[in-house]
Amino acid sequence: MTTAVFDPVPGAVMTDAPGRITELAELLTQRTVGTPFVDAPKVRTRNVNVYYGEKQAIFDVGLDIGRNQVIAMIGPSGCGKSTFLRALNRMNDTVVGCRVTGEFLLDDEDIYAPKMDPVALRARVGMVFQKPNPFPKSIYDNVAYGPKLHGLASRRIELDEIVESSLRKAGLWEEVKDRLVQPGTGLSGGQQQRLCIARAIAINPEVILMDEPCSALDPIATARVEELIAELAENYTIAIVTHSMQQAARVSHRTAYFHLGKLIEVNDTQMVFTSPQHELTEAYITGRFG
Amino acid sequence: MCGGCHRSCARQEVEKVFRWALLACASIAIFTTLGILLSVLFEALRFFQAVPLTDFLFGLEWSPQMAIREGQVGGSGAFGAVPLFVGTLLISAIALLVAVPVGLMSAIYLAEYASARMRNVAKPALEILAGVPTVVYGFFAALTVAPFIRELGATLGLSVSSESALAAGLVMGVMIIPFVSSLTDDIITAVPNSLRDGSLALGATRSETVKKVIVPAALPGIVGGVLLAASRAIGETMIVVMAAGLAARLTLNPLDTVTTITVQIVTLLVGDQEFDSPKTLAAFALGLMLFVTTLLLNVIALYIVKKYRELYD
Amino acid sequence: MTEHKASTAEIIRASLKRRYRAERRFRLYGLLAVCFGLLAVLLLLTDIIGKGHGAFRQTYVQLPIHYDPELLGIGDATDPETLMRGDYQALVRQALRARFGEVSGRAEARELNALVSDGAGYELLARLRARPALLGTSETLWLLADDDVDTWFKSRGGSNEFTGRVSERQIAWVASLAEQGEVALRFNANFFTRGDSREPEEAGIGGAAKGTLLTLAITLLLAFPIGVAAAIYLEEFAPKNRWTDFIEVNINNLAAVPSVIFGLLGLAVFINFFQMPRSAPVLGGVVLALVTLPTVIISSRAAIKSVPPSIREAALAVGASKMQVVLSHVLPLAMPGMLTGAILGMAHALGETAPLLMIGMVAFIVDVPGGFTESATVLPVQIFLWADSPERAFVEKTSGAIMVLLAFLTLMNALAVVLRKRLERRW
Repeated sequence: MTTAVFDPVPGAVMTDAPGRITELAELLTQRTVGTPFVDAPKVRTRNVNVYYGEKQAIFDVGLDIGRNQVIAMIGPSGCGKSTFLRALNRMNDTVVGCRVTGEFLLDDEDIYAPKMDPVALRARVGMVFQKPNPFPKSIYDNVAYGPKLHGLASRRIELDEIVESSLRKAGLWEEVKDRLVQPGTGLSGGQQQRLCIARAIAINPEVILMDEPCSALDPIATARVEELIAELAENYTIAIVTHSMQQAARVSHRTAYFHLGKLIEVNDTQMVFTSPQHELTEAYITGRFG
Repeated sequence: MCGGCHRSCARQEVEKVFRWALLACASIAIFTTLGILLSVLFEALRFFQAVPLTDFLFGLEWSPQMAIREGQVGGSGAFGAVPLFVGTLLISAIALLVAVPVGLMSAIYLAEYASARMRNVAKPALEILAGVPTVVYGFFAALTVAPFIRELGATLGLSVSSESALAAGLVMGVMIIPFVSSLTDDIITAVPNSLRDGSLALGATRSETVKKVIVPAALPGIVGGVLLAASRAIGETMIVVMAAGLAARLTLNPLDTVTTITVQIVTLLVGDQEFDSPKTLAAFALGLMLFVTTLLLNVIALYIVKKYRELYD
Repeated sequence: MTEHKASTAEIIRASLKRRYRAERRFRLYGLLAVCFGLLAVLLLLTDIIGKGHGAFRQTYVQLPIHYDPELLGIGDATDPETLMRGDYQALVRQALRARFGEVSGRAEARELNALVSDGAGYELLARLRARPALLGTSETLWLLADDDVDTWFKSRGGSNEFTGRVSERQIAWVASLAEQGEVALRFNANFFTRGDSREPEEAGIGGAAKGTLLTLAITLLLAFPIGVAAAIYLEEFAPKNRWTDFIEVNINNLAAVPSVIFGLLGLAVFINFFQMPRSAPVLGGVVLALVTLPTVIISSRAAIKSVPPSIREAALAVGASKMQVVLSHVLPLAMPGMLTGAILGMAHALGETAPLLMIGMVAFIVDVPGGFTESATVLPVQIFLWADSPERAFVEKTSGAIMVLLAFLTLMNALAVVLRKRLERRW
C-alpha cells in the first residue's frame, strides 16, 4: 500500500534505513510547514493541483509570492517546481493534456479567469527559460520583439530607448552596444541568457519567472546572472526555480521546498538553510537526496 | 594452420568481390547522371552545329515544322526557344502561386492549430494528391478544369483559350501542394520548441509566433523547399502535354495558350522521324536546358536545406 | 513606476482586439488552405469516378441470330480457314432487319446497322469456332452495341442527355428494344481483357495492363536488387571519401531530375546506342528502373539505418565477417522496410508516363503483348492515348482506366502501410 502511494521516483527515496520509507509517506501527508503565506502578496495561489493526462504532478499547493521579492523553488528532479512555475503564466496551456485547478491571483486578478487573456497575462508575467533561447534575429530585434508586438513604442526612438535600457538593466549594454545588428545566437551562453532576460524585461513585466536560468551556464556567467537577479529584485517580483541550493541561498529572500509534487516547507531563505523545520527539507539540504 | 589460412584467404576474396559488386551498384547513380549528361549534351552539340546557340537562346520565334522543309534545314529564326522559356516560367509561376501559399498555410495550420484527430485525417488525405499519377492530372486539367475556366471566362466576358496556361498551371499547383506542405511540415517541426515557448512567454499570440519567429527561423528551409517545388513544376510533363498548347506564343497572359519546354520535347520526339533532323535534335537541346536548370535548382535547394538542418541539429 | 506599468497594461489591452482579429484571420487562412487541398482531392476523385463508373458496364442488344451458311458463305464450319472468310456482320444485319422490318434507303439501312458494334461479328466467329455444330441453327444473343448508342443509352433520361451522333430513328429503335427488355447494360468484361481499339466499345485495358505487368517486372527485377545493394554499400561499407559523397549527391539529384529526361536517356543510349527494341516492355522496364532507383535506394537506406547497431556488434563479436553480418543479420531485419520502399518505388513507376512516350511505348497496339520484347503500351500511356481520342465514349473509358490505375496504386500503398506497421512493431 505504501509503495503504491509512493511512486519510486529516482532519487526521491531516502538512502539510509529502508524502514524510513513508511515514515516518509507519512511526512508527505502533512501540511506545508513554515510561512507559505504573506501579507499583500503579488501572486497568491491556493489548492493548486496540476495533472498531465491521468498523472498528477502537483498536489494541493498553496503559496504566496511577495511583492518585489525573490522566491526560490528548490527540490529534487521531478518534484513539480517547474510545473508550478509554468502554471503561473499559463504556459501549461500550450501542453496538450495538461490540466490546472486551484486559485491563482495576480494582484487580486484571477489568472485562470475566462476573461483573463493569456497574452496580456504573459506580458505581465515574463519568463526566462532553462536553456537560453534567443530568436535567430539580431540582438536589437530580440529585445525589441516584445515591445513591437505589444505596440509599446510608437516611434523608433522610443524603441531604441527601450532596447538600451533593457540591455542596461540586464548588464549587457556595454558588451553589445556596438554590435546590436549581429545575431543574438552568436553571443556566448551567459550573454545569451542575459539577452533573454533583457528581452523579458523590455515589456516591463510585473513578475519574472526563471526556470533554472543558470543550469546551462559556466560559473562566471552564473555569477553575472545572479548579480543581475539581485539588482532586478528592486523593481520586479521574481520566482526562480533552481537546482542549486547555493544559488537559492545567494539570490532569494524566501525559499520553497517541493517534494514529489507537494510543497513541503516555505520560509525565509536563511531559516530554510540554517534551521529547516521539516525532516525532508533537512534531508535535501544536507545532501541526502541525489 | 595452413588450412585455416586458406579458408580465411578464400573468405577474404569473397568479401572483396562482394564489396566491389556493391560499389558497382551504388555507382550506377553516377553513371546514370553521366549517361544523361553525355547523351543530351552530345545530341545538343550536333543541334548547335546546325542552329547557332545564340539563335536558340535568344530567338523569339519557335516553329520547328518550318525547318524540316527542304532547303531550310536549321532555317533562321525557327528554333528560337524564348517563347518556350517564357511559357514554362508562366505555367510554373501560376503553379507556385497556388502551391506555395496553400501548401505553406496548410502545413502551418496542421502543425500549429489542428487537433490530433484532424491532423490524422487531413494529412493522409492531402498526401493522396502526391500519389495521383500526373497523367490523371493532365486528363483532369484538359477535360474538366480548362473547359470550366473557359466557360467562367465567357460569362465574365473574357476570351479564354481552351488550352489556357491558367488551367495547366492551376492543376499543376494542386499537384505540388502536398510536396510543399510535407517539406514545410518537416522544416517547421525542426524549429526547436524553445523558440516557440520563448515567443509565447513574451505574450505573443500563436500567429505572431508563427509569423515572426517560426517562419523567419525556418526561412532557409522553406526557400529550399520552394526551389525544389519550382524544379518540379519546370520539369512536369504530362499535365502540360495534355492541357497546354503547342503554339509557341510569346505572351504573359495566363488566359492565352502557351507551350513549354517539356511539351516541345515530347511533341518533337513522339512518332517516327529521322534521328538526324534538327527537329529531333532540338528536343535534346531543350532537354539539356531542362536538365541544367533543374539540376542547378536542386543542387542549390538541397544545399540550403542541408545547411538549415545542421543549424538545428 | 506603477503609473508606467498601468499604462503598459492598458496599451496591451487596447491592442488585443486587433491582434486577436489577426490571429483569427491567420487561422482562417490556414483552414481555408487545408480545405482547398481536401476539396481538390474530392473534386478530382468525384470527377473521375463520375465520368468513369459507366466504363465497367456496356450496352448490349439482344438479337436472334441465325447462322445461315448461305449468308456466311461457309459450308464447313470445322475448317478454321473457311471460318475466317465468313461475313459475320451480315448475320447481324439480317437479324436487325428481321427485328425491325425492311428499311427504306441506304442511309436508313446504315443507321440501322450502326446500332450494333462492328465487333459483334468477331463474337459470332468465336462462338462458331468453339461450336461448329451451331452452323445452320439459331440462337438469341446479347450483342455489343455501338459506342454512340452506348453513350446515349447511358445518359438517357439524365439531366444532361447526350445524343451526339445518334439519330432520331436510332433512338426510336433502341426505345422499342428497351420496351421489350432487349437492350441492357451488362458487365463489360472486354474492358479488362481486350487490347486497344479504334472502336471505343471494343477497347480494353487488358493489353496495357499486361504491358504494365511486363514492364514493372523488369523494373522490379533491376531496381530492387541494385537499390538494395547500393543502400547496403552506402550504409555498411562506404568509406567517408569524395567518391561516396559524390554518389550521395548524385542519388539525391537524380531523385529530382524530371522524368522526361530519363526518356531522352532511353532514346539516345538504349535505343540508338544499344539498339534495344523500341516500344518493348524490356526497354520501358530499364528506363523506369533508373527513374525509381533513387527512391528505392533512399528508402532502403532508411530501413538499414533503423536496424539497431547492437545487432551488428553482437554478430561481429562472435566472429562473423562484415559480409556475413550484413547478409544474415542486417538484411533480414531491414527487409520489410526495403520491401515497403520497393512497393512505393513500383507505385511511382506505375504512374510514370512521360519517359515512356519518348521510347515509343505510345504506339497504337491492338494485341495483348506476349513477351518482354514485343511492342506494348502501359496503363498510364493508354490513358494518355485515350484522353486524346475525339470519340465521346473514350472519355468514359479513360476515366474507367484511371479508376483501375488508382485502385492499383491504392492497393500498393495500402500494402506498404501494412508492411511499415509490422516493421514498427518489431522494435
